[in-house]
Amino acid sequence: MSELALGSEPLLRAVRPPLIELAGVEKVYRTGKLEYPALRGIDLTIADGDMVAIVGPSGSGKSTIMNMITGIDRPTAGTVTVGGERIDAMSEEELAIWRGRHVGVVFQFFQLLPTLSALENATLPLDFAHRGSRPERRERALHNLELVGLADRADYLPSELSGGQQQRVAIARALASHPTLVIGDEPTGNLDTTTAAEMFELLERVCREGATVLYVTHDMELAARAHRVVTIRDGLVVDA
Amino acid sequence: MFSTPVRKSITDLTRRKARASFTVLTLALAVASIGVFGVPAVMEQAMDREVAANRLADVTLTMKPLRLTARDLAALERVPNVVAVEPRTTFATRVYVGSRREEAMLIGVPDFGAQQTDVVAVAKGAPRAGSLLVEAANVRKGDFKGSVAKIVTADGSVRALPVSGQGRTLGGSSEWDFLTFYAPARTVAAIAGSDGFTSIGLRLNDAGRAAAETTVAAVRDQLRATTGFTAFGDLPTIREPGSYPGKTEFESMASILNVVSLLALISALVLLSNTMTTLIGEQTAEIAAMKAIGARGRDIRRIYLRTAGMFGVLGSVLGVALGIVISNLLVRYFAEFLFGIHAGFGVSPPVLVASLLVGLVGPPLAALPAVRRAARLPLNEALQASGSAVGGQGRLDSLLRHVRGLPRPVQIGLRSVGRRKRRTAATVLQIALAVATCLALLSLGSGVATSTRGWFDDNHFDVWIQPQAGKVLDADSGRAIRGVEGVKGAQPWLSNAVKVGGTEAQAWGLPARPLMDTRIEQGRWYSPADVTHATRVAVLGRTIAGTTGSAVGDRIRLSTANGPATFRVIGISANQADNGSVVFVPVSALQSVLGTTGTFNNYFLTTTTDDHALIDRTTTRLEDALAARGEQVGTFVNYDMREQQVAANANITMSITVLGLLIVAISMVALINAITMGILERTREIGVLRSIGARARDVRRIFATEGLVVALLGWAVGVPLGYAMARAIGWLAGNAVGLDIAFVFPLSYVAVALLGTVILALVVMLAPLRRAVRFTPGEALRYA
Repeated sequence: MSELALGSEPLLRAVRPPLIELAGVEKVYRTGKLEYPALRGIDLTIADGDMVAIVGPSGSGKSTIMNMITGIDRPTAGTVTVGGERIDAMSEEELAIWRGRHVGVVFQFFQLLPTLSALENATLPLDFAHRGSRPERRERALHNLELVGLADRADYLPSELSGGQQQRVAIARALASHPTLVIGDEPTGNLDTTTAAEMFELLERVCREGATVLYVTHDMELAARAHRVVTIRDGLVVDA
Repeated sequence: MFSTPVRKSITDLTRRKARASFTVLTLALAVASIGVFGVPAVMEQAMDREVAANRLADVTLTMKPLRLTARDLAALERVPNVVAVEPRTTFATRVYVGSRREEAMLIGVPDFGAQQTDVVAVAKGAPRAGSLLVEAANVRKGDFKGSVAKIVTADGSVRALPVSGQGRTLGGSSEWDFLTFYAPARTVAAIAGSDGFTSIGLRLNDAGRAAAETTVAAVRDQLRATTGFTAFGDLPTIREPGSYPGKTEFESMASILNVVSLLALISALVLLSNTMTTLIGEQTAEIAAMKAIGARGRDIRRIYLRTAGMFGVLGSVLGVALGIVISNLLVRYFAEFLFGIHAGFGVSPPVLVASLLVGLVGPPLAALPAVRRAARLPLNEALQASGSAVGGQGRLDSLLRHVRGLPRPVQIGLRSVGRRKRRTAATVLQIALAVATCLALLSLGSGVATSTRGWFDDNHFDVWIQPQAGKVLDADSGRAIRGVEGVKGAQPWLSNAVKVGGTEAQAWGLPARPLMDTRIEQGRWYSPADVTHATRVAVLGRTIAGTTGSAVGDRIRLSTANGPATFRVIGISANQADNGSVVFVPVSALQSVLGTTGTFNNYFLTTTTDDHALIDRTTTRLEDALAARGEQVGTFVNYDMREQQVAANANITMSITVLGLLIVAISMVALINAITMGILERTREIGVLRSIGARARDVRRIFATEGLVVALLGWAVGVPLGYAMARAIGWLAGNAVGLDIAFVFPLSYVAVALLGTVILALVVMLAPLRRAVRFTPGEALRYA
C-alpha cells in the first residue's frame, strides 16, 4: 500500500489541483537599523492532500515559509494563494477568520493555554470561529481527543500532562475545525523518539483523511516519510 | 566606557520601552504624592509673601465711630512698639443686586496711596471720591456685576454709586460671602452718616502677644488722653506672628489633605514594589543564564539593583517635577478659593529632599526581595522559567475553572486573574484603596452637609440681628423691632469676645430659654433664677471645653473687654455655635461683667411665617425701621445662612475630594500596569490565539475581562474598607475643625463607586487593549 502510494505520488500530484501557491515571495525582517532577508523570492506550489516536509538548516527560512502560508506573517513582496484565496491581501481580521476555518497549527512547544483543560484547549478554535452549538463543539473536541488517545485526560490542565500528551492535545486542537491544511512547525522537535513517531503517525492519518499537511523538521528520517520534501537554504528553495 | 554588567543594567531600561515608561511613571507618581505634603509649607510661603505685601495688621482695634486727626494718628505712631497706624471706616449695609438686597460691607480707606496696614490693592481701575472699588473676589465668583452699586445709606435711602474698579485684600470677602466695596473714607462716612473711624490697624515692632497687649493698653491710654474715646468695642484682634486670616481653617483642611496624601503614597509604594517584582520575575531565565556562566549572587544583585536605581533617578526627576506642579496647583486652587489670592510659585525644601530620597532609595529597596528570590532560585528551575505564569492549581484557580456558561474569551480572561496572584492582589488592593478613599470623602462631604444643616436646624429663630461692631441696641430699639410687621417674637441677648485661660472664645449672654437648642451633654443649662440673679455660671461649648480641659464643676476665668471674671461651669453643650468655641452665660451676668446693664447687641427674631420670601420681606422692613432710627444692623436669615454654609462646606470637601483623585489616578495606573504587564508577558500566547483563529475582539475580550474582574474585586474590597475609612476620616475631620460630623454612608454611593470603577477601568484599559492586538501573529510569536 505504502509502496503503491509512494509510487503513484507524482501522478497524484500532477492531477490534483494546487492548494498552495507562493509566487516570488520575499520576506525581509527589520530590527532597528538591521534588515534580514529571510526569503529571497520563493516560488512553490503544493497540491491539495499532499504531505510535505520542509527542511533546511537553522535560519534558512523554513518557519518563515510556514508563516507565509498560514498568514501569520505577510510577505514583503510576492503573492500567497491558498485554496484560491490571496491571503497576502487579506486584513488581519479576515486572516484570523480564515485560519479558524481552514488551518490547524501545531507548534514545537505545544503552546496550549495553561488555564484551560485539554478539552477546552481542543475546543478553542471552534469557539473563536463560532462553529456549531456548545454541545456540538464539545463533542467534536472530545472526538479529536479520542483520536489522539487522550479522551480520558480531557479535564486535565496542560501542566498535568506530559510533553507528548500536550502535543497530542495541540494536534487535537489543530484538527478542531476540520481544517484543509495542517501546519506543523517542528511538531516533534521537543519530543522523545517514540512519542515523536506516534505524533507523526497521527499527522499521516490526518493527511490520509484528506488534509494537506506541511511540516518543518530537522529530522531527515521524518522528512523522508513525506510525499514530498522541500529544501530551503538562505531563503531560497533549492530542491522541491 | 561601561563594564558589561553596567551596560546590561542600562539596556534593561531601554529594551522594554513601554514597561520602562510605566515603571518610571509609577515611581514618579509615588514621588509626586510626597510632594503634596509640601502644600501647607508652600501655602505658608505664599501667604507670607501676601502678608508682607498686604502689610497685614498685627493688631486690629474696633470702636464706635471716632474722629481722629492727623495729629492724633501721629501721636499713635509714637506709642512705643508701634510701627504704623491705619484707621478705617467700615459700614455694614445692603446693596441691590438686581432687585435683591444683599449684605454688603463698605471699607473706607483714608488714602489709597499711603496705606499702612491691610492694604487694599487696586486690581483694576482707580479709586475716586464718590465711587467704589468692588472686591475682585466678588466679581470672580459672579456675586456682583455692573458698573453701578445701589447702596442703602444710613438714613435708609438708596444711593447709586459708580464702580470705578476692583480692589483686593487678604480674606476680603471670605466671611459670609459679603459683597465688599472699598472707597475713600470720606465717601464711606457720607454713606454711613457718621464722621469717624471704626477700626485701627497697627503694625508693631514686636508682634508677640505680651508686647501687643502692652501696646494696646498704651494706645487706649493715648486715645483716652487726646480724643473722646472711652473703650474698644471688642477684645483686640492680635494676629499671631506668621498667622493670617483663615490659617486655622486651612491647616485643618491640610491635616485631612495629609491623610489623603499618605494613602496616595502607600498606594504608589505598593504599585512600585509590584512593578519591580514583575520586572525581576520576567528575567528569571536570564538570571539563570548569567549564573550558569559564572555570575555570583552579588553580581546579579548589583545588576538589578543598579537598574532599579536608574529607574529611581528617572522617576525622581519626573516625580519631583510632577510633585512641584501638583502641590503648586493645589496651593493655587486653595489660595484662590480660601483667600482670593494668586499664590506664586513655591517649593518646600524638606519635602523636596524627602521626595528625592524616596525616589532614589525606594526602587532598589522595593526590588530587593525579588532580586534575592531570583538570585536564590535553583539554577535548573530558573533556566526553565518562561516569565509567564502557568495556570495555577490553587483553590481560587479551581473555583474560577468551575465558572461555566461564559463565552470562551471571557472564561480565559477570568481564569487569568489567578495566574499572577501577587500582582492581582496588589492591584486589587490599590483599586480598593481608591474606591475606599472616594467613598470616605463622599461620606465626609455628606456628613459635613448634614451636620451643617443640623446646626442651623438647632436655631429656632428666623432672623438674627446684630448691630455694627461696638454698637448696642437699647430698649427703644427693642420696641421698634417688635413693632415691625411680620415679627412674631424678639429675644435680646449680648455677645462679646472673651478668652478662657488664654484661648479665644465668644461669650453668649442668653436668656434662660434661648431660641435655640441648647444640646446639653453634661450638667445642666442655667435656670431663670440664675438669669434673675445674674449668677456667674457658664455652659461651655464642647470645643472650648476640650481645648481648655474644663469640666462641669470647674471654675473658669474669663478675660473680657472690661476685665477678668470668674464663672462656674455647670454644663457642657454640643451646640455648634461658633464651632463650639462658645461660653453660654446668663445675659444678666455678662451685662454685669461688661458693665453694660440693660443693653444688648443681638436679637433672635421669630417671624409669623415659614415662607422664605415673606421672611425676606420682614427682614427688609426690619432693616428699614432700624435704619430710620439711625441704627445700622447686620441681619442673618437662618435659612439663608444654612444654604450658604452648606454650599461653602461642600466646596471645601470637594477640594479635598479632588486630591482623592490622585489615589484614583495611581490605582488606574496600577490597573494599566497590571494589564500591560499581562499583555507583555503573554504576547506569545496572543500570537498563538491569533494563529488558531482568535479575532482582535476575542483577544480584547480576554484582557478586558481580566481587567474588569480585578477592578470589580477592588470595588468589592473597597466598599467595607471605605466604610471604615469614612468613620476614621469623619472622626479626624471632626477633631480638626471642632465639629460633630454626622456619619452618612448611603448605598447609592456604593452604586456610584461601582459605576465609576467599571467606567474608569474600561477607559484606562483602552490603550493596553489596543496594544494587545497591535502585533501581527508572527510578531507576537517572535516576541521575547
